[in-house]
Amino acid sequence: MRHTFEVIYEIDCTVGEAVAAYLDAEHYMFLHHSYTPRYEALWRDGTKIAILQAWQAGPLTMGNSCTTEYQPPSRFLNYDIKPVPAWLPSIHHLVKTRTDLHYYASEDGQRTVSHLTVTLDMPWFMWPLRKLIEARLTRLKIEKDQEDVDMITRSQRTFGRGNLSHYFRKDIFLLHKDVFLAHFGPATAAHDGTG
Amino acid sequence: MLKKIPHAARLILCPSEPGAEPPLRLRLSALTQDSVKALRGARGQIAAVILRDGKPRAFDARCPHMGAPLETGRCVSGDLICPWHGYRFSGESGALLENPNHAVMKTLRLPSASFDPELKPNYRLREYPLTITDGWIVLA
Repeated sequence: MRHTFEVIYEIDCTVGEAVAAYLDAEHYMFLHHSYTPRYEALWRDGTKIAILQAWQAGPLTMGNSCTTEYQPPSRFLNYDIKPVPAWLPSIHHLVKTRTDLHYYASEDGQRTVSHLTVTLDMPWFMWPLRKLIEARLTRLKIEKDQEDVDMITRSQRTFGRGNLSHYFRKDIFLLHKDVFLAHFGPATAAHDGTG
Repeated sequence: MLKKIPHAARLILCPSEPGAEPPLRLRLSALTQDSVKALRGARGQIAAVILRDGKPRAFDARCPHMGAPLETGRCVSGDLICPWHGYRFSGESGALLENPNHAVMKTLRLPSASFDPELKPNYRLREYPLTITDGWIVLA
């Protein structure tokens, strides 16, 4: 049975800033340490990456693997979430989760809309729990985004709102950086404020 | 926190409320080997204060990489660790010593037209002079 829900709100930044924060994977293990203590890339194929997010419980490393896909300029898909190790009792054995996060400019053009669509495919006996799962995932999304919003806001105070030039340096890493720059780089309308 | 825009069915995820301003002086005894304390200067500058070889050192609390608040970071063996990206800055010179993501994200940090994994940013934290009077630390 399929349950779909959306989490939609605006954040006070440009679309380029929101996308850059997402692609700035170096902060996942530090700023989001309580959610992502370990982040490891398993494989990469174009703008698709399989990642392992893991936690240490004594000698045991456990977590989830997931395929994350960047659809430029500002869409991110997550799917194929599996527990690691595979024998680990996990909700992901029962519920197939797929998320689609889309950033786009708000109607007045002043902010960025964060539009998350979550699709849960679950067996019938899990159906009564769908609202509980929805509430839990929504809370998690807001908590993590709060940390990102605080990061973006402070970066804006340091570099100026909409200024992405600190990401353009050749010594700064972003996921899919060449693709990102093709859409938000110095030669694009998004960067000079006309886009 | 989520706030609703008046007269509109829109929600905004707002930044967290700012915390209290750092103090203008700090007890030397409040510093421990692994602690990072915030200190405000008379001109409003904010410093991250650590102990390095038993001596207090104060560095500009704004990380030159992305602007992180270094006063909320960690101190490890007398070096300052950025809370956002884990960059390690020398508690002696303020220079960037290490980016821990080099090792962790090796499979992703591949050379491309816009990224050279061999390049190391030449970040250096500005150090503020300190005065210590009667056990109180103040930014000079």
